[in-house]
Amino acid sequence: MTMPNNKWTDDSIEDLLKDFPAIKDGRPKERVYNQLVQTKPTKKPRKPWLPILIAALAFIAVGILVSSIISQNGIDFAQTRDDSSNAAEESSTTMKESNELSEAENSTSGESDQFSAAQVEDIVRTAVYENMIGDQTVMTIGLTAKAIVVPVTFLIPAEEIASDFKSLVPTSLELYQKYADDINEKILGFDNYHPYIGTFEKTATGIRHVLPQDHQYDKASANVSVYFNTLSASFNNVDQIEVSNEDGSAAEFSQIGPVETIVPIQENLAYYSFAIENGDVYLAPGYDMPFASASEAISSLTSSPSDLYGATILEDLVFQVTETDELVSVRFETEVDLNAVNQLDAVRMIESLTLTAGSFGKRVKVEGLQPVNWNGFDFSLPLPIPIAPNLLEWPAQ
Amino acid sequence: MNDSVFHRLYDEYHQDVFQFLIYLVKNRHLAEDLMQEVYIRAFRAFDRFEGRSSEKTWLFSIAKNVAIDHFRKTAVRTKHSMEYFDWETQQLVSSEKLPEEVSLLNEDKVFLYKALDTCTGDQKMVIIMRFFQDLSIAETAEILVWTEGKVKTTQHRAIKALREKLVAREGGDDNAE
Repeated sequence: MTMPNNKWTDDSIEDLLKDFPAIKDGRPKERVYNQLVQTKPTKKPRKPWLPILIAALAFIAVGILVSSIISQNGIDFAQTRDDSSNAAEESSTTMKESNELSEAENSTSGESDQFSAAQVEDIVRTAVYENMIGDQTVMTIGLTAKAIVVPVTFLIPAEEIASDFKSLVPTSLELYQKYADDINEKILGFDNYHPYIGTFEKTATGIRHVLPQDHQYDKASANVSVYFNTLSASFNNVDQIEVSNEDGSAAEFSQIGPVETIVPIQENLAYYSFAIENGDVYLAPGYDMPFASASEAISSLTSSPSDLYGATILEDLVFQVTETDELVSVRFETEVDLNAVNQLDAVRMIESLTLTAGSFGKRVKVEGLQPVNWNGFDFSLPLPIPIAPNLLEWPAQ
Repeated sequence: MNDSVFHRLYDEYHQDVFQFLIYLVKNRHLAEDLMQEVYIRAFRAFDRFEGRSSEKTWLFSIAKNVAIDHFRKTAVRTKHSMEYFDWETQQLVSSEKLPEEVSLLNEDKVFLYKALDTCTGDQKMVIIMRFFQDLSIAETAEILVWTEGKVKTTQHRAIKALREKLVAREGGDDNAE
């Protein structure tokens, strides 16, 4: 009942305000935690790196490489979906049955301090996420096959960094100079491209590649494109890359004339599927095919833009895309049962969406994928943007 | 992220901070999203947290910033305006439905809660902090980086504004002052 007007004193209003109810977050603690570890913070400069690693995830990379590595580390990839103790399945239950959240909380409250990295061991990812990094250092390098450039990423243990560098935070150039020659591109199935010939120098605005006269980087237009795009991928956190001759003059390439300062391209790109000869599949940005909007880029993922780049969206799936300043919404027209499709293909599809949106500085919210909590993805929330694509096992051989 | 930090922050402050957020934005899912952002910012800044304030006021100040950022983004989206968003003088309005817990309250309380949306942002913030969250004047001042005097003045003005709205609702202004 309403009070009469003369009751509205400061005290009576304050008494009413003090009497508002507590509103609880009904989610179990572990669900909050799990959502947190799969959430990518808002845009942040790349640099080495924050806490905790989920060690097992580092092994879950791509294709054939994966299975051998996984068996060495005692993680049964094939059991991923069946493991009733895994976090994804647990959270899918709680998510789907939101009415029973309080029950879930009761049933798990006694063990809420126990969950940790182990809970997400069975989650499959091909990309690198912030929560996987821990004290490791991220090194991304642009490898190439069939004149397509693929940024692949390694997580280098802190002990190795500590023994190899004076600084605990080596630059991408220092990492490149130390490790590029050790990466066995042939065994990974790529062309033997690195290290670059010539030398690198630091500049005030980034780095300079000093080329000897007999370099071959301008031999054909495809070579030039691979050269520029591998530089973009490998030194994506520098502002500018200059290319000069040994006498200090700006380099001239036979295909294009004077080489202008390169600004590494990471933005406005779509991430397509790209299979190399040995059958391994990677997510490769279409470096030379930027888009004006995230919606257009994501829409392009349904079909192959060229003979070499493949669609990442599973066959016959149709979706609608809308976007705001921060979020891209992808709504599949018919519900997709992710447990009925190849898990790695599904992960690649989802990560191509997040990487593509991420290159526009946006996150993705996906509707129409079932179950809502699958393989550590929570489709009720915007998905985290990976830090970098194509995680490979370190050491790279 | 450090697991033990998460557990401690969760155990000690999660429900309080969540309640603060949901009272500000009304929508439970949105409050959950903002809560995630609070943790992310807290972990990112944790190494720099040097105990100059209490952990509680530090976390609430992060939550306050996260919420204001949300209102700022909403204002930009709805008004297509990049004009400076001054949360203290503008309103912190959420067009969401009332939280279920509030919709079940008596009509005076529902009216009061809705009336907060018509107060200025600083008044709504102070009312939620002081009365819904039971934060002290000193704690509120620390979170908002205000003087205690400013908290008291804002609270006084907020109560006065709410009283005027309550009286006006009943069609009489004889006891408005």
